[in-house]
Amino acid sequence: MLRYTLSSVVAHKGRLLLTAVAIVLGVSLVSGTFVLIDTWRAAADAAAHRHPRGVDVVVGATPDAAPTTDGEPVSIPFRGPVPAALIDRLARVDGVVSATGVVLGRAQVLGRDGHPVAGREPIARTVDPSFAASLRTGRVPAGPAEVVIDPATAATLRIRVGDRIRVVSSGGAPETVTVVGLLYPPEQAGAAFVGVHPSAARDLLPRPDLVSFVEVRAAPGITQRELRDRVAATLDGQYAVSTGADLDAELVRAAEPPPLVARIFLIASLVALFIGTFLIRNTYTIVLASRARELALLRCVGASRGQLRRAVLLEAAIVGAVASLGGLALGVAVGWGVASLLKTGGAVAVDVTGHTPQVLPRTVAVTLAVGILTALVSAWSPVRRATRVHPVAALHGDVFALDRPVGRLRAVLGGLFLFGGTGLVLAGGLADPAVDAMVGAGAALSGLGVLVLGPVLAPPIARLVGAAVRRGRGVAGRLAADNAVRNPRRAAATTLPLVIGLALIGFLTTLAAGSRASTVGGFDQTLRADFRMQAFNRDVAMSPDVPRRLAAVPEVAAVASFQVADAELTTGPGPDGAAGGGSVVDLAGVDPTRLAAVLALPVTDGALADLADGGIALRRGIAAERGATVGSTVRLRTGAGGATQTFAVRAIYDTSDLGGYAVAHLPVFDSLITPAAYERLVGDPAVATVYASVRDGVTPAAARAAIARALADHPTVEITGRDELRRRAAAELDPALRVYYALFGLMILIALFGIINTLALSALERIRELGLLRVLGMQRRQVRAMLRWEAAIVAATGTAVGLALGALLGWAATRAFDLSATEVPVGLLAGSAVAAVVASMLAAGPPARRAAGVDVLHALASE
Amino acid sequence: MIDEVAARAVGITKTHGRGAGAVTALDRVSVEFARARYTAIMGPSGSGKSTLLHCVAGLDSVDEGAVHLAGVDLTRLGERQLTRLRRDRVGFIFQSFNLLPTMSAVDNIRLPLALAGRRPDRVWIDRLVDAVGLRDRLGHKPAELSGGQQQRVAAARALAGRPAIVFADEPTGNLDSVARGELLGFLRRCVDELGQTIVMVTHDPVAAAYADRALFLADGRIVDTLDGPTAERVLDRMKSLSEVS
Repeated sequence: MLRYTLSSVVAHKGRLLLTAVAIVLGVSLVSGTFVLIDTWRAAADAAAHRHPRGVDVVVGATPDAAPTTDGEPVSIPFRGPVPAALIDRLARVDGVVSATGVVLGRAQVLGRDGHPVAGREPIARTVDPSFAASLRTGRVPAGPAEVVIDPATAATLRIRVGDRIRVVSSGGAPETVTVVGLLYPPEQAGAAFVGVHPSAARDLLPRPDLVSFVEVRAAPGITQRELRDRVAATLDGQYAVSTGADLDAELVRAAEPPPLVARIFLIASLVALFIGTFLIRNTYTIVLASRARELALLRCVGASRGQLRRAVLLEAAIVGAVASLGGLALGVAVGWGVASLLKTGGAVAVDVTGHTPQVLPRTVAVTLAVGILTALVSAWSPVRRATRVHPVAALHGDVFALDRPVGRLRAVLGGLFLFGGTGLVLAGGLADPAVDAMVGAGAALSGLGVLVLGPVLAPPIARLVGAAVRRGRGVAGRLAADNAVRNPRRAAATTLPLVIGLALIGFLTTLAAGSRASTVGGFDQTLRADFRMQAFNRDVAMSPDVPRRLAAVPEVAAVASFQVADAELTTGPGPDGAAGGGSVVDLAGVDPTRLAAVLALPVTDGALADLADGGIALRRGIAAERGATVGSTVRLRTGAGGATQTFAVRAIYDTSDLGGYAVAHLPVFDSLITPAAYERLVGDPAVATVYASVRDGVTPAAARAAIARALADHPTVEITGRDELRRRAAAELDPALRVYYALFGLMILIALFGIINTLALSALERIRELGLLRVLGMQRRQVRAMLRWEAAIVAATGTAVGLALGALLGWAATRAFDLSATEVPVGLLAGSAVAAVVASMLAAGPPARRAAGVDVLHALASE
Repeated sequence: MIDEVAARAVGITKTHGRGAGAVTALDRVSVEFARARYTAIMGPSGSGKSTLLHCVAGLDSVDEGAVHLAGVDLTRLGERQLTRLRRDRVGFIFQSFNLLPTMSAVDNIRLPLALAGRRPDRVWIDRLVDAVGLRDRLGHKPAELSGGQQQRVAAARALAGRPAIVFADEPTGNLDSVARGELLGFLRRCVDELGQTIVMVTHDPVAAAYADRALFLADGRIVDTLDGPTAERVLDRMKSLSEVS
């Protein structure tokens, strides 16, 4: 039997090739995911190992000082200041050779055009002589007029060691310094880094009593862990202590693919594989039906049913194995394509494409296993059915009716799922507020319904879709419409992958459109300003001189400047300064009367005008979290060792309708106090962001020119117009969307291939019929048209069902996510539908040409 | 002058395969099929009778010689023109798998006209439908018809476009004796009453007896002809042929 299997693999090369291609496509996304993730990881490792930090132990603030809502704690260096007195305490610990206070802050290198590098977060820190060994080249700064910068910035701005450059540190004016060395950013891979001499620390943090964290070096013979434990023992849990190696590992982890990305890719590849299974199953059903006589002959000469089944399954396994290897090769290319997409989308800090692809043994093993298993699973039921046919019946050639009738149970169950699910989605989505659980359960149920109901649903829909073709395309169109629905199960299996792919696209497109509409809507309703002035982001401060100069510009009508800091907010009569127990909020200092000129903040309670010194306005979410109402008091504290002050709540505003993507581009914060109160509490005059509106009758171009002239001395300040902000807010989702669309596009490609594959095979199966039509006078042109229209009808059916389902689910999701606007992008959906149908007609070209070119007598004579 | 010949083959030769394995299916055959006549082509298996039919019908090319069908030299026609000729001027009936399974009986009958984009002649189609006795079966799919009914639909289809000539390749091969009689009777009436020309390949002496003339092929040559054949006389000739070979 093995000999039969092998000879049959060779003999049926053509048909098996089609099966193989289906497996290759299905598997490639799986292997591509592994290759991408592994290469990404390797690139992150390589980046970290290239420049390990020469520090044994790092001491900083506890995680409570800067908790985040994302769950992942902030890395020790970024948690905020600790008292400078800590340095001496640490230096006295046994086994410590040196303890150095490090100040972390923001500084930007200006290029020859006077502007900083775009797109990379600016970070600056003090660099002491102990970093000499870690430098890529040059030496450490020997005085305040010398700096080291990172190699990437140097390359981008064409700066060499020895060059004189201008640097702007947080909130200050440009200073001219000399570059004396290059150093990879020790705290954050990919940042735009400036390392300054410790004597320049005050430019980064204007508080001599504080440092950002402390770096400790061990005496010879003491390991990092030993030193960490000794240091931790003396500190009594007041501060966070970590080894340098652990921080390096953290840096690697930060550069590694986030688990969510890996999960999304794996899910996408599983969906692709699922789609592939349908394809392969279809292929096997047809291939085995056309081989029924051969199998029957083997049965007649004494092969047992089990032998036959094993032989054909072994054949499937061989095809699966060979195809998996092809899928592995294609997967490397897929991984590459996705990596470059991620990079252009700005989603990855590490350049994955510059590294050799990582094809680990695990990837090979998983790909092979997945490919073989998919082939076996897909072949299983067609093989069982084909080998169950009575030998003599098969020999008589009357086995084309391998398709079982569609069961009533299936129709009832599927209908129940689909209509129940759709009903749930609609009910949940239309309820106000939307009921998430109902929408979710409904979505799952209707998806299952489509799956189960496919064979029942596909023919009538295809008939409906085919009606136009039947009427308008003569006898070829009519036959195409008939052929498209002649085998319900096959029609369903062929359309289902397209349904899944397009449902995903429809879902995403609708969700994205809803998100965009609510973002733009929130933006338009709220922002009154015409320009925003900001350095890299809100965390990179500007000089208080910026709003002063703006106010002096005659074209400018109103200016509102925002000073921003993180603060811990507590309520109730608890003891002052108690660690933890509060909410970390972003706190802005702003003049309430000026605020109204740039932002229409939706105040639900109280009034912003009442926000006198000592008053505070809170975002509704924070107020609810802390149980604060207008009239109650809250306490604020900033940084470690900062004083705690009490504020009376004067106003509560609600920004939940604005959409998260709009808020990021608007001056919307958790809490607002007056500039005077901010000055007292935080003590830092630096400005985070400034918004300005222009006088009536001034053109945006004229206003921009005037503002640029006024801010000529502040080159790090970006002037962004309202339209640009609006566009950026609307485009916030685009990088992620591009990746998703690429993934789903790949699925559509697999689905289209499935249509073509099935078309080619069923043309082969119907070859006598084609011969008859040719004898009766059907021109080759008509045969081609017939097959192309058949593909078009199948594609249009899948497209219609998929997009409709996707749009429904997308709409429900926008409701469930509480987006303020829902929008069904009809034009975009119609466009993708047309694209899918046209693509299928084009792809049907080769098999249609082959079928039309078949020799008439040969076709008539074949069985 | 009206051509009294519907189809004519002049010295046609057809060889299948090449080299040592080559088989001469037709060896310089010349034959004429007169209009409004019913001709049966007979002969043992491998005598070349199906090849002759295919060549005269334009389904297969000839190596040598010329074929004239409805006044046209087939050897000069391209693929597209041949297809059009088959569609407009020729009718076909085969032994099996004659109908498109997705179409109803009446749609099958009209298929050649639909392919040509021609408007069917209602009166003529009605006459055909009545002649084959399928008036109450028109809406049925082939799978819902008996073998005999299917073959009569196929016969009606072959005649739907008023072809110059109808070729039938073993049309009774899969039928029982009752259905066979019905089909052959219908074909006979088509010649007598409707003036159609029919050429039928068969190895059944009973079927041949319905024809006006029987040709006998052996080893790719016409070895005998019989006018006004009866089953007994055909059987005699067949016997003598098989004794000779």
